[in-house]
Amino acid sequence: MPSLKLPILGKTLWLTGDVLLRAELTLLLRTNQQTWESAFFRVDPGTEMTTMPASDAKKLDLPMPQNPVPGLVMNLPGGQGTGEVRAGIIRAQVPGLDNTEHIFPCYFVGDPNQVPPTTPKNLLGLSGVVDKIRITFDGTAVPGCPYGQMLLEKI
Amino acid sequence: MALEFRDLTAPRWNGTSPPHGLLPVPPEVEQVVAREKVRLQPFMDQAAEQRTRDDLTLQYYFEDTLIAYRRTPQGVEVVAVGLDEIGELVKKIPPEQRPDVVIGRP
Repeated sequence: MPSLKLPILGKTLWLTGDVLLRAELTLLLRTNQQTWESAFFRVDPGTEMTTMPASDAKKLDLPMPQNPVPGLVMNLPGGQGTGEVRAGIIRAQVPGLDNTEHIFPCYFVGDPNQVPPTTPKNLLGLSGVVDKIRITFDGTAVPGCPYGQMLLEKI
Repeated sequence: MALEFRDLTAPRWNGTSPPHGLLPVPPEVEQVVAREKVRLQPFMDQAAEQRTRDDLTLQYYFEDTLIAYRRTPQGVEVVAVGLDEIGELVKKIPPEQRPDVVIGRP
């Protein structure tokens, strides 16, 4: 079974000294021209659906629905978000895992023609992902990975 | 969705135009790397040290900014900043001619 280990990343806050951990994954995304663009995603088990700013997807020439889903909004911390949500897919390979082209559902958020007022990151959520790739977090420090590792396994 | 916290007191670049090319490592970043090397021994090997230096340098210059960059043995090289430049990059240079370039928001 193909697998890939990636380091869990840490950032020390200047203000408090707290170490904030995150896991990131680079995906190769198939474009409208049938080429592959590299983009990195924050791996986020708290996110229901993989998301990407629609404006970024447009610049990368990724296939994306023309119209947003009426009535679908994204809940944000502190309240309900506004703006458009396009329900689509991304065709993605995980470099270092194998050459499988996965189809992950993806919500493209915001106006494709405008830079978003906030600065959302690409998030890799659970839906349509964890049935294809098992993702395990292990905080055991090993040489080269002081904050532990994220293990990806093709299912 | 992912909750992120931003340290508004962290040192960051405040120049007028965003830097391109190989990013100089700020002294503040080197101080943090040196401290982390001590704190995280014996797990902080050369690769982890380089990754920490590159990540902090990216955050120093480009936190939450969409950029295209590559990691090199000499450090982080920025090839495009912002949606417009990245749009031009994608249009003009085919992906196979920039295989190590990654696009995202540090």
